[in-house]
Amino acid sequence: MDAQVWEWRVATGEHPRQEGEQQLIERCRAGDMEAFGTLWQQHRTAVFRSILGIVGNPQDAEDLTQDAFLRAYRALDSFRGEAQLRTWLIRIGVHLAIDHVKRKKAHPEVSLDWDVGGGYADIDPHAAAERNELRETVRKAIDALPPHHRAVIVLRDMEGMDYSEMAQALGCSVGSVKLRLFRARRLLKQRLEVLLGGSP
Amino acid sequence: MKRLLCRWVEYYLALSVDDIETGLPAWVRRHLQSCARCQAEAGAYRRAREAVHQYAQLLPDAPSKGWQPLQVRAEMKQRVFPLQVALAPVAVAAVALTGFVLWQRASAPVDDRAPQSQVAQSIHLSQQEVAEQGRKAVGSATKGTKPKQNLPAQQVLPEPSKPAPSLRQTPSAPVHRSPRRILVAAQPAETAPEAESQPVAQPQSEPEVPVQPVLVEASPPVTRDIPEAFVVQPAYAAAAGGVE
Repeated sequence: MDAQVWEWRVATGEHPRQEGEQQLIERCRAGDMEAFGTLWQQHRTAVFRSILGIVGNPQDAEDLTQDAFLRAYRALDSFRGEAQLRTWLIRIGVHLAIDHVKRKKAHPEVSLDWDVGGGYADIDPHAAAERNELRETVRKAIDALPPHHRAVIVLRDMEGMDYSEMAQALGCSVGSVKLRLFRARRLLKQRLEVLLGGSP
Repeated sequence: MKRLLCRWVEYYLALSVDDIETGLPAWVRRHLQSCARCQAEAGAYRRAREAVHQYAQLLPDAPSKGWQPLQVRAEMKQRVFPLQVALAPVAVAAVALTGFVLWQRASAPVDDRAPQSQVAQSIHLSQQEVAEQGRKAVGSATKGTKPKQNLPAQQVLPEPSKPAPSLRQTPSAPVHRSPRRILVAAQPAETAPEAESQPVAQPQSEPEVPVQPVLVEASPPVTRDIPEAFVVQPAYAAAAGGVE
């Protein structure tokens, strides 16, 4: 298939075939790039947003998303189907993001000009400025957390995972997830109280 | 300072922040109605949750243009993979062959009839010379007596047809006897070449050298000048009438 046609189909959400995820995985294992593109289209946003919530930089998040999907493509034979494919992909991306943050050993820089979601970047300049301020404040508070605490905040509060999915994505027990989430939320609450002055 | 009960309430507030009113246990809700500090904590957690949710809505979606480079990288991996599969047996065979050759060289048996190395030959020759000189020295020093102490040293000397023994197999010689240094000091012209040819690690075949004359010659010379204070002058000697 022509690459441009396939990219257009992927961008517009038009899939060649509506089929089950397991069939797509089997086709990917056989080397079918079309099936892999369908899986990428279905899960790229979740993986990208999880990574972006941890690293805070859209460019780094985009690169790490590609690395995560490439690793997943190479390791599809080891996917046993015990967890959902989305959870497995997010797990790969979260581990890459945590390693990235540890490797940089510095708080990730947030560019002020990345496009805010929702399509209201150009509606009201005042509202856009408020959103940017809120985003900067929350980003600073999240960046003050350790990488593992960032991951639980992102998975729970941004991706809406339950505790068992988080445990599968992070490779730990449910009890560890609860303890991490408690500590992360307490730290985040304290940090936001300082940054927002107690009245957001 | 927080009470223990308030700490437990905070734990529930942090974990049940998604549905604060209905997800909490009954005893926590009762405590919240009576504790102002925990009510403030609940409000702070609620505000933090709302801020994070608003932040999550502002996160951008993944760019759709990322598929093309990903496809290129994935297909490149597919193309590279058969080449690696083809080269893997060749690499394994090369490593195995190299290892086998090295192992053969390392574990090859030593041929006794093979020519020895120069070091082994020099050690062997020096041992033969030392043995001959030792026999001569013993014969000249202990005439008519039985050389009891030199017998073991002569027995352990290697035969000419056998390879040179290693240092670990060489029996240790008696250490207390060291006349060689004295002999070199007394007769440097005769013993110096012999000392050069002898290996340091073979002291068991030292020839037995007579000790007494060497000690006399190694002592300081007796012709040292006598201080003037002790020299009897001729005038004084004549006055004393004893000396001409």
